[in-house]
Amino acid sequence: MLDKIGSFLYHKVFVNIYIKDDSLSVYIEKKNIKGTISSEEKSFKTIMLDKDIINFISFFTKDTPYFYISLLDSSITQGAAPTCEHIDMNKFYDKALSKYGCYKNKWSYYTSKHDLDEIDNNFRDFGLDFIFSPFVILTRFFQDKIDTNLSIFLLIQESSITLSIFDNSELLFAQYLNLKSDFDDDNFSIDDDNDDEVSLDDIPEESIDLDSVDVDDALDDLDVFGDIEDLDSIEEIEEFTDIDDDLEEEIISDKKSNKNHSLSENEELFDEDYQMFTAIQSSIKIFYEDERYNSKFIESIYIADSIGVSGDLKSYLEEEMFLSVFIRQINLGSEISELAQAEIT
Amino acid sequence: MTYSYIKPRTKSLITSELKLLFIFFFITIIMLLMTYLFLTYKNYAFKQDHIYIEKSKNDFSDNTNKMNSDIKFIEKQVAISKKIFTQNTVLKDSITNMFDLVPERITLSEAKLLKNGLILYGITPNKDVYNFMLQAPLHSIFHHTYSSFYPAENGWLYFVSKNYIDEDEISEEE
Repeated sequence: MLDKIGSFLYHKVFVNIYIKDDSLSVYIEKKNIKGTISSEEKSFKTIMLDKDIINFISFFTKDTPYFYISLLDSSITQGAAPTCEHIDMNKFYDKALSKYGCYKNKWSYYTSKHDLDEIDNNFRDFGLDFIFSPFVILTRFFQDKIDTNLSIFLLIQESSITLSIFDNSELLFAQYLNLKSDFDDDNFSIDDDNDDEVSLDDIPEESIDLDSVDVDDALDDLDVFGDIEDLDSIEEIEEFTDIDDDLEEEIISDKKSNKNHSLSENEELFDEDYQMFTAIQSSIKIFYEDERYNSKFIESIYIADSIGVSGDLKSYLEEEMFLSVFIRQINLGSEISELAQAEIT
Repeated sequence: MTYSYIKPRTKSLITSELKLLFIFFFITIIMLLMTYLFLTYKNYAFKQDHIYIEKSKNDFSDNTNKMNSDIKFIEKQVAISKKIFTQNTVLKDSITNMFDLVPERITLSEAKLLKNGLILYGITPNKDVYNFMLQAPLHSIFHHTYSSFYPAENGWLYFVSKNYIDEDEISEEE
């Protein structure tokens, strides 16, 4: 009753925070009964709550007791598992060390309790109302496609990729790929003999440098496709390899023609796209090889793009993994805000 | 629908400022209420004291009246006692005087003191001794004196002397 009176008297303010590489993005949406009054987004060059962020948030929240602070989880130990049964959960993650939730009793998403405690400690001055898993955001964003497709679904952020594979709303596989830590930690190093199951041990053979990419080797990695009758003929694949060569030339020509960007910037973008591609590729490989997952042949990939990926990634996916690529732009702040609003209604 | 790892904090319509204001008003109301109750109690106690004091006052007044009446009664008693004492003194003197009146030769056997008179019984050697030595003084005291004689065995005479004072004179004396 008091809440209803309160909703007439006060605006509701949704503060949505997500980490962008090494900065913190704060999306604030102000709502009343009729709808959204205003929204504002600002990035801060820090991942810890500092005075500027607190002042920015306080400016919007000081006039109302009805404000909700949401954070998108960026823990590297998070993930999702294709089960919601307590017995089966331990096959995919350690329940004792994880905090988990079930999505419509079909699959579960989890994160490290330690990381949640760390977040809680970082935000202790302000407090948090919601911490959302990117898998939930991704699922809600592509709900219309997930219900009717067998496809890969990606949420691409600046330093991470949330990957999930759904078959008509049934989760087959999910993995959270932290690009920065993976590459910074040299998990892709050839000499690294300690790679675990999740590490992309085949990637180093292909190298980050596109010049050294052997497309045939890449195709050899996809031998699992060989048993599928509907797969296009090898000749068609070879056509793709031709296209890949053309693409390679196109990239080189793009580099030369684009005078507004320095060479190093282009190389950086190129590396980032290729890093994403290799990470996705190795993740898909795990899906096909790991017996825990009910692997099925995937023909399409839906990308929720929050950073504005270049066409290179699309090309890699289309030409090296033969996937139909569909890209949809996502405003992460807005999506988190919608989820927070759904949570309180 | 709960897809968050944590539960949202409870949002209250009452902000910290309102909470402070409510606490202030609450404390004020409590203090006013306590003051009201204290004053009500004190008022009740005062009324009770007033009733008790009023009752005490009445009791004291009654006691004072009673004591005043007792004092008056005692004063009256004292006056009476003084009068009786005076009368007794007078009577004693009268008896002493009376016995002084009786000569040695006459012997009294009985004397009755009346309110307005004196009756004497005795024996006298003869009437003359009686008449001259006793009746004469009695005459000077009493208004009416009556004497009667009858002979005794030894030749003497028994006598009865009745002496009275007038009623008017007695009332005047009083």
